[in-house]
Amino acid sequence: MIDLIDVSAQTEVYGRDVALFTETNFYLPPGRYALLSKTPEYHKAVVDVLAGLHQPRQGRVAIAGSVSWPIGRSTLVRGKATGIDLINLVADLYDLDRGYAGDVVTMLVSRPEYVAQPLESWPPPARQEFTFALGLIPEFDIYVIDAPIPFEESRFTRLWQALFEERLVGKTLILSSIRQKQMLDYCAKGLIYGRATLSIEHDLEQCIERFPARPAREELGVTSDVGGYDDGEVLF
Amino acid sequence: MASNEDRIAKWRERREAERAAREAHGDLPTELALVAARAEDLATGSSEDPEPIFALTMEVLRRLPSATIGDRRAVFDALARGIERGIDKADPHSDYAELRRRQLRTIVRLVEGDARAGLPIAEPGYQPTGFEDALDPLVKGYLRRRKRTDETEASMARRKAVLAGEAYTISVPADEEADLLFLRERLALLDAMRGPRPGRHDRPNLRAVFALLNYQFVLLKSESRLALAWTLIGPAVLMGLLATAYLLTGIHSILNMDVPTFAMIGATSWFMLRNVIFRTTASFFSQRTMLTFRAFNPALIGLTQGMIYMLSYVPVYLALIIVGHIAGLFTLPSDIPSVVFWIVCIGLSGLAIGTIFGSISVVWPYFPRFAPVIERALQIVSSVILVTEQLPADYRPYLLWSPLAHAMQLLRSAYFEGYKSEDASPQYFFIGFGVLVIVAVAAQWSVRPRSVPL
Repeated sequence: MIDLIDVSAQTEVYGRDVALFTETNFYLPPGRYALLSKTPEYHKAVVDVLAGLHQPRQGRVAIAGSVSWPIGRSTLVRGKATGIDLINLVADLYDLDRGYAGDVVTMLVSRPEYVAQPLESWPPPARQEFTFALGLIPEFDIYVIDAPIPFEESRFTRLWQALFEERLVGKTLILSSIRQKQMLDYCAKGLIYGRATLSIEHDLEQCIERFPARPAREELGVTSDVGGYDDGEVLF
Repeated sequence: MASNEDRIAKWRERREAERAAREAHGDLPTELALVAARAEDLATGSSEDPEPIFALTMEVLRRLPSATIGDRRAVFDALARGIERGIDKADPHSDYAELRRRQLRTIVRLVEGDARAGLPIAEPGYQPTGFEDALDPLVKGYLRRRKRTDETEASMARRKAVLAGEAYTISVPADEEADLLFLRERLALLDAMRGPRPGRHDRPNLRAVFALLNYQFVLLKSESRLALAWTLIGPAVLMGLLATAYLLTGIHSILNMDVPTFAMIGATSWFMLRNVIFRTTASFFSQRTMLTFRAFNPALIGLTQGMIYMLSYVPVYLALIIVGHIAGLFTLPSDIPSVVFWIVCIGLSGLAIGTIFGSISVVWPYFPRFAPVIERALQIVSSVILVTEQLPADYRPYLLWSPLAHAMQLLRSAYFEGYKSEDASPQYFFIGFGVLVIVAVAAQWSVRPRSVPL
């Protein structure tokens, strides 16, 4: 499904350039994976590479089939455009009917009145629902989710989960979430990032014990892969 | 007669019950064994209501001797024994068993306390003090535990489905069923109406370009009205300055070009160029969120943004020329296709320069601060204010190195019938433009590994 061929890539983590992959070769077969590592601050960059959004410095990422954008990133929902504009963009991009696409999103979200307003004026919950609703519209072979899946008890959550479950049948999923329950609910295997490479672990429960979920840390240089505190102190 | 048979049936029933009770609780006196047998049913149901336990307790206490502590204890023990047996029969480890045990224990504690305090527990309508306060937490805790157990079971079932690769059905309340059906049908329609092979929709293609152009146009429309008015006012101000400078020095015609039109075409074209450059450069940074879609890349985003702003100058040119002509200020262009061609060439140069600047800004985010300075410097050497033919031959090379100066003079040559530029060369411009394009392509390509979505 996703093939990393001699990939070397760098990324910026908290203002420092760090090596993400160094001549990494990795093949990701179809399946459902939870992205886990000791360095959650690298997850966004790893997801960017896997979703084909980050062109590596060397080597290439070959993706068979259509891959979604990292669903759930609220950075998409900003600026002066309205929700309708963004729906239209996605519909145009993926060759979908604008009207039906709009129907799905407005029917799904809890506060449809926001959809016609500029994105910058939306409250965070509306943004989060919107990004997830948008991810349902096109059908993909590989779904990439880079945020906690909606979990609060609500109409939106129930409907979204029900529809997503149907979308996901027979598809590949890469989930980067801080919620362990979601990993168990959606994923069969662990996709482990560490030492500038990826590996697949079959026992997800055991992986979750080994890599306890935590949000990406704001501090610099506390991760084992980057170096210790000393490293950070020397540099700054 | 019927009542007699009834009586016989009842007696028989009682005897059966007594025999069963004695069998189960043989060591107890018959009456207490019966109590224990009746208590069994309390632990085998599913109701969490403590009322039946309390009712049975009180009924037995009223019917049997209960004056002394010993009497009451015998009754309570029989009840407890019955409930234990009921639990054993049903499910010995369930939360429900624990709830029933605790409920009985609490009721016993309350009733015994009241009895020892001398309260009339045998009277009908008696309610132990603090009954609700003592029993409600038990039920609430039980319901909480049961909810948690249900959730654990559900997630285990889900986990099993995930591991087996089966679809797990999320249950939806009845009032949301209709919405779900509607959404499901809409998604099916969306899938069905999609082209035959949607596999490559996430790669850069013509569809992506049009989708992005459309989006950029929407962004332009959502710009503040003041910013849009400035696209008209900006050139008018520069034009006014240029024309005033010429007219004050008594010059009304430059090499057969009338000063207002000369200033207008120079100023508007330059404003278009600088707007295209700045917008293209800025969008490399400001529209990084669009990189979330695989089909887009920074150059595509910058180019579409610049193109939309280029197009926005079509109405600006039309408005200025038509209104100015009606007002008697400007002359009309002599060779319209050539004028359009050179304006487009200037705009495309702006796209190329903007792409180069934007690429630099990916590596050095501070760079766009210098863009206006560079643009001002370019303006001086790009034949906006004057054409090289006005200068002595020795000074002309200072301007003519700039391909934009050539383009600007060729534009004026096309616009004015009486002026044909001798210095400007289309070949020179196109070589310069080609170099710009090559540098732009290389620059945007080299910064690709550093361009990631926001």
